[in-house]
Amino acid sequence: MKPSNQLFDLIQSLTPDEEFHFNNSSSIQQGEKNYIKLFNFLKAQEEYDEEEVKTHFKNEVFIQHLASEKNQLLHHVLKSLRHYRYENSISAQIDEEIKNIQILFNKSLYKQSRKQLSIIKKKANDHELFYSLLDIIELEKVLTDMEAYYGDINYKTIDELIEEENDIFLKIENCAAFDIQLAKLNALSSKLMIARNKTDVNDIDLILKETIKIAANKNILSNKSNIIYLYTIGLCNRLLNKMEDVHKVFSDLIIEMENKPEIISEMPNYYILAHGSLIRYCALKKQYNDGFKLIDKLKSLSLNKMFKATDLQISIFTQSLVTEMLLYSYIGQHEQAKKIIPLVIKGLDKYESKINNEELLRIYHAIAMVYFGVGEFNKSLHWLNKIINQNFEDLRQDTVRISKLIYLIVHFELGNDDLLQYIYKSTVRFINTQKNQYQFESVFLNNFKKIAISKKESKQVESYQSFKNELINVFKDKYEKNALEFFNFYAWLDSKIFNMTFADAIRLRKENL
Amino acid sequence: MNLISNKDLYDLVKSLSKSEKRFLKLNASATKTPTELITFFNIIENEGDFMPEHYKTKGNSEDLYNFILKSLRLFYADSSASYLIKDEITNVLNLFDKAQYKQCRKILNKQKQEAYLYERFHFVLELIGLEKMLITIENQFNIIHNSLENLIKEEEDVIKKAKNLGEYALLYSKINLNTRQKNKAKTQQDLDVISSFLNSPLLKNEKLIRSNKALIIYHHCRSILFCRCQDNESRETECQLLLELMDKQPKLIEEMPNRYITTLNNLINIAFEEHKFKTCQIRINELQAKANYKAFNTTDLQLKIITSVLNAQLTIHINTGNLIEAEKTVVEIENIFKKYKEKINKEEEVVFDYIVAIMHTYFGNYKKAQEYITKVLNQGNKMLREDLQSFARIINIGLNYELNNLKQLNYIILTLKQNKSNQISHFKTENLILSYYEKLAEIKVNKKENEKIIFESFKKDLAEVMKDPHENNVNFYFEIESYINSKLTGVSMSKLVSEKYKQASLI
Repeated sequence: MKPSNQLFDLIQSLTPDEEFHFNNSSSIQQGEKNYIKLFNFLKAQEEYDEEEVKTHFKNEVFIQHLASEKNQLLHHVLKSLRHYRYENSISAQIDEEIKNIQILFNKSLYKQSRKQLSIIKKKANDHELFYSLLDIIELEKVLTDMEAYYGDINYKTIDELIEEENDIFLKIENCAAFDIQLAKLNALSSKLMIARNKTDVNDIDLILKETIKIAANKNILSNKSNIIYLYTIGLCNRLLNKMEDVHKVFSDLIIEMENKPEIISEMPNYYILAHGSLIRYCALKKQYNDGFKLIDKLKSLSLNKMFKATDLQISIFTQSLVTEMLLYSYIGQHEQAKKIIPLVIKGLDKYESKINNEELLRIYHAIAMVYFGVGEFNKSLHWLNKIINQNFEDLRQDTVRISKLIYLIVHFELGNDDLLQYIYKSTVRFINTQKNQYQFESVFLNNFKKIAISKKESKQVESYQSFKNELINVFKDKYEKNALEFFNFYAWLDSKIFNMTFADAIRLRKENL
Repeated sequence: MNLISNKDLYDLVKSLSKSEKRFLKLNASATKTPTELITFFNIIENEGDFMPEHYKTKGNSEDLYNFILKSLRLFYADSSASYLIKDEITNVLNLFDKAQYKQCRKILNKQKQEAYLYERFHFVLELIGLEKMLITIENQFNIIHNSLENLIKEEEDVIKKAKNLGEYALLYSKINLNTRQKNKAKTQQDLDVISSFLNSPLLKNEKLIRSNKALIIYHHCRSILFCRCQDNESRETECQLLLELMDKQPKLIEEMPNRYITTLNNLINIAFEEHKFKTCQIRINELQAKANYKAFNTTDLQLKIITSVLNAQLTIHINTGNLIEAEKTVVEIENIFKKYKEKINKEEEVVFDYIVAIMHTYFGNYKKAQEYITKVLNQGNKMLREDLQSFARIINIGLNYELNNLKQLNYIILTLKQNKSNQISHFKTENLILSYYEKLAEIKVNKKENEKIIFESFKKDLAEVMKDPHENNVNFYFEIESYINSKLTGVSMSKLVSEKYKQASLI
């Protein structure tokens, strides 16, 4: 990305409050300012177009040194954002107040410096701001040394401060130990949404055991460590599909954070993600009302000051709107789910370049499934194409592989018989080149061939029934069964067997199972 | 902000420099700060002494206090490396929040480099903390800059460096505390303590040092220890190594300005102790010339430079017999002490009072000398510069002897003897002086006329005691030999001292 685009993106990402703050702080300086003109023009542009900027300002002197003018604008926007942050974030306020300690110390106002230090240190401790605490202790060491010259030895000694500092280092290292486990798990979860074979289970189990071992050997030294620990355990259980454990751990995590709101402000994304996992639990356990309540709670967070940051807004967007769409699809209310799609697309327009591929895959898949559910196969195909035609490398291959199978079904539903032959062969080639082979995929491809390609048993109820029976057999394996998380193959076959819509088939299955 | 008293506000307003005040007023008009706040500021600015009753109706002290601090933060925003790095860290956070990850990475890499240059390990750790978040996101976008494993190894390494620095800081603090109690070694036991410090794993050699900051403290600790055992050659080597290191990396001067100034001051002291007054004056000039450096532009450091320079000049004037210049310098120092009242630490006060007492003693103004010696003895903290207090007590006896305060003399001698038995370490000379004053007091009380015989015997015994090289350190506190010679020859003590150091002015 070119620097100019970054400036443009930054300006476009400003919230109305931030923009107001920027305009306000700029008005402090007297006279006409070029950077303000540039700001207003860039703000009005839909896409960054430097030529348009140059044409618009062709009569202005500053256009001859546009690069430096842009730099100045960037500097002012960042400065304004910093000041806005000081007014709205406790940790930023504490960092500013740390400067006060230093200023008062430099003025030899040691008693005032100590007063400030005591207040700020308590605040930083409450928020577990380890790095700020290290700064404060560093200043306290100098202050304590100075106070000793005045015979004032009422505070902590240097020994005690060094001990305190070492204690913080231990806490940072403790967090890092859990961070490593979580990173390993994230690397796994970027490839799979759920364990699909014993190797996956072994990999996840190893991380789970290691995390528990760290907690036992090194203890959990801070609330922050505790949150990372709980999140890692919860995510392990989610990947292992141990839903009761998922519910317990993520509920504990949310309670822990709600009991200490200052930790929510420090680790807001964990709070959002924990809710997302609980919504999935509610869907699986048919606790739909609870699921929708959690979605509402997540949506309301987007209005909370603590969750204003773009990355958090994106996280709330994916965890609420996308999950809501999935929840409706899960219970066969695809029409309801379809109503959410415009909002999701609006979110994608706003955030697409900032959403990671893993989430993008999840969103594309969810939209494709909703359109499939309402029988709008062309639209479903559009979103499946986004999954299949992009190179996601080894990211979430589970979603990509199943999307290829759904892709066949969609073409089948659209009656694209000529194309189907070609796509089928390509899909078989693709599946054969994959490292892990799933029995379910072979069963699907064999039966699909009979129904859609060879046309020997085309569209016969018996063929669908036999297809279903074979799937029932394969899905006795709990790992193979996880394929149903991505697409309800049973419901699709039922819709053919009983001649009903896919959504009705899902509803019926939910009611009867 | 809580707990701000009106006196705090008064002190803060009074501490502002002209340029700070000018900036504050500009900032006030630019940010449309309420005029009553600025009126309140102007009243305090023009106030003489602190008048608590003035504050009841004037305005909101807390608001003004916070506004001043905010203005000062802005005023110094571009002048302190730590503020600049901290601001850039906030930029990284803002860009991260805005999901501008590429820009975020750019600033983060640059700032990490800066933080390493300044050896601000806490900032490096904070940046690593941010980088962990960034790496998680970058991985999701398939961008590889660094791995989390590498980052955690880096974090462990930085923590080791920070802990190592902490160990040196703690060691320094212990050595410094010990030195504040007694400056020069007096006994073999003192020397053994110094030797154990010098041979401790952290100070024996540079093997355990993990950063330049730790290396600076290492040299500083060793210079203090060599000072205590009067090995000025090694002390000077340590000081020069420290300055060389900091001059090569000026960022370290910004980080540890106090150690830099202390070292320059140490070099002045070395020259003085080695009786090289010319060199001493050159070094004083060097220290004075550094006063304008940006890194030293704080009240505490400016004060430290001024007091170091003036104290050194005063000592030279005293030892060269220049009473007029010495008295001028005393007035100058006293004015500074008056101006900065609460900002002068007790050690500086004790040292100054002691030097002035010595000055008046050398020049025969015993009454004046007694005033200052009384200040040293009444300062309250018995552990602070115990070495000076110990000599002050002895000088107090001498002054009472010279002033013929015979009634008090016996009582003071008795008390002092009791004190000496409780004292951990002292020079043999101190005991000798005490025993001779006992004898001298007796002859004065009994009006015998054999004072000269006693001083002759005193001189003989002193010469014997002074064969011990540690005992020579006594002369840094008081020129006892010159005092005895003055009593024996009738020549003024200041003249004898200046004669003694005649050569010192040339080197």
